Amino acid sequence: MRTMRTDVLIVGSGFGAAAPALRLAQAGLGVTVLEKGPMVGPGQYRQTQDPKYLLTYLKGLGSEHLGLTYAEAYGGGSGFYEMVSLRAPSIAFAQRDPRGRRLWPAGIDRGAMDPWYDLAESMLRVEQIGEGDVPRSGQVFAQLMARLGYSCDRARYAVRNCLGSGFCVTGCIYGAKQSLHVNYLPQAIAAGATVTCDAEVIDIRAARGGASGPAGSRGAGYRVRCRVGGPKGELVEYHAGLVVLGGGTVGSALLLLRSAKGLPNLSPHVGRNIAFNGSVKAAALLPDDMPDGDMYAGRSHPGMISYAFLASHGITISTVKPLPLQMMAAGRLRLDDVQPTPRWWGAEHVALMKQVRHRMIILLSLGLTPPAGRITLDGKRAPRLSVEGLPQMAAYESKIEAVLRSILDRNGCRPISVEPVDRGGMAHHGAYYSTAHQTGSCRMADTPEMGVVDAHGEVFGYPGLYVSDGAAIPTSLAVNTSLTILANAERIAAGIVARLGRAPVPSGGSPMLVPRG
Amino acid sequence: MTHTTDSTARQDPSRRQAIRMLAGGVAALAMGACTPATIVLKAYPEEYRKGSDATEAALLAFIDTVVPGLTPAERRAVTVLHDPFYPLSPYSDFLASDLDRRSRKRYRSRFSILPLDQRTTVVEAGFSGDTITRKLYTGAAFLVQAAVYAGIQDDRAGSRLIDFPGGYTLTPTTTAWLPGAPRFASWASTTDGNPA
Repeated sequence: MRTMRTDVLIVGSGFGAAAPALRLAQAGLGVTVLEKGPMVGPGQYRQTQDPKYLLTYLKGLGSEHLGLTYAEAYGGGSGFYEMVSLRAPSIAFAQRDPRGRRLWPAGIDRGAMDPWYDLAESMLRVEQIGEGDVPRSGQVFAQLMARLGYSCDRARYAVRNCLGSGFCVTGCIYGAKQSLHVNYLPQAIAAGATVTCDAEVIDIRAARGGASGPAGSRGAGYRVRCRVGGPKGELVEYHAGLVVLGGGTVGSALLLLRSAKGLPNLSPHVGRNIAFNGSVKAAALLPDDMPDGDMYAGRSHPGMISYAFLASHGITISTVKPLPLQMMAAGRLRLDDVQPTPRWWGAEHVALMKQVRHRMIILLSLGLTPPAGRITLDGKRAPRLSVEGLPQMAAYESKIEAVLRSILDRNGCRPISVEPVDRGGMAHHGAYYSTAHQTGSCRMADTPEMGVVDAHGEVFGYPGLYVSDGAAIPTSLAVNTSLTILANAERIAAGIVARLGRAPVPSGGSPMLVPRG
Repeated sequence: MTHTTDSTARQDPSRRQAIRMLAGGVAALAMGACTPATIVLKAYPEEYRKGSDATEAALLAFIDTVVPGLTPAERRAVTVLHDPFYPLSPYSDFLASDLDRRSRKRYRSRFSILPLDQRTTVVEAGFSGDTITRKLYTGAAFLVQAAVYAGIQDDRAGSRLIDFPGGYTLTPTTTAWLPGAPRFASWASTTDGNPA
């Protein structure tokens, strides 16, 4: 097995990893980034529904009641997300556990995060879209809300010169999406970081004795085994002074679970407390007095979001524009006001599908569901996903679906039932949540009794080992999670640099590390 | 081509089938249920081997039953039932044989030549079969729908049936956005789009 040395090893290349890669490289440290997925970018993306392409980069972990989607690719989820970049509302940071303890560490709230949001937004060039940039389906959604007197705001995006092809979620072939491929990652490389794709980290163990970390670091560093070049590739062991886990909520939890032997004092919270942003949907056909929407025209996200139920129900509401494959994968569609219950296949289903493009509206709420998911390893060290508190999950789903249904009903829409299905097309029974907004599997907390890492992202009991991705975010956010993950990763990276006594050295046109405020 | 019935084939298995049946006997006993044993042992007529006329005809008719309204060329373009990338591929010949078996039992005719309403009844019966059969029919229908509606075989093809244009086709902004954008704006609760 070949041995390599590096000051800092960063696992992953998505929103949680890219900021530490850039900032630590700017601070003069030797940074090595290992990405499990393949190299991909605007030159390789396709506007396709071909599962062979999509499953190369997008992965899933599911159970009967929860389905998580995540990316394994250069740039992580940034290549495939819808570009919506919103700050989490203040109430997200105020969430508490059943014993009344605040879930976010002391001192971290919206006000404390705002300077880091500023920095992340400037890097991704996030702006609120203009009135003329809202696609039809978003306009129709806004009108539905307006007719009931509810507010609706134009969303904020990380995009420049969008052509509205509608394939944001398969990768932007035009390079308009401000994914990490066009900012953090090239700047990190310019600052000296090396990036290796198709490199899967197998496990981590704490080194014994000696100081292998960069000057100013604490502890003896870590030994990180990885396989480079795919499943049959070369085994390499990295000796790293600092290790930053940014492989995502699923990836970081799995890596720590598989490293239990070499990191025996990890918190028992590893893999637990997964929040999933309370994704609830309701579909319907538009009433005759509403203009046509268009599921397939304009950018993937419809551009409008309502905060009208944020204070009362802890939810934001938008509409979604799934591509046909996403729609099929989400569930079986049936008109809900017809007896006997229509089939989910055959002529009746075709008739319904013909109305999807222009006459269907799907409302989506994101909300503050409690951390209830858990990843474990089975006897073969394969991941298993489970959820706790099913009755509460079912009650939440019913309550929020009633809110969405009420909006549709009062507008005169015809209800459509959506029965969630698994990857084999079989129906799920009971409450079911699917999301790409999972957080919290190695959550930040004030004490090891409540979480896996401290407020600085450092793993309790393991100096120099950090988690900087969605796994560290302790709660649901009620909005898309990417900007918060990135802002928090910036905050953690700044903390590492400060504790090492390094001065930030901006390069490549990026803003200064220390944010305003 | 001469078509044999299921019962004839079962009474007179080929040598290859016989060896398979012997080899798989313990597994079949362990599994108990009828459908898995039939699949494992390939205990269905030889004429339903991969790519045979009988298999092709039954599967094309299945596609037309799950998603009626496709042209013959569109039906033939649906390859998910054979494509080894997808999990159904090893079982598509069994599916074809099972469709014909159910069809013969109920209508004394091959599945592929039944009218749509009778084919629908046959497929419905498959969805109501034992657990494995139900999973097989469900998975097959699910794959066919995904393939047809999403146009997964051809990035640019889209789906004529549901007016999905496919990839690499930009919708003109004159039709992608409703004219008179401000008419469709509700009142905004924030100054910049971020929640408070």
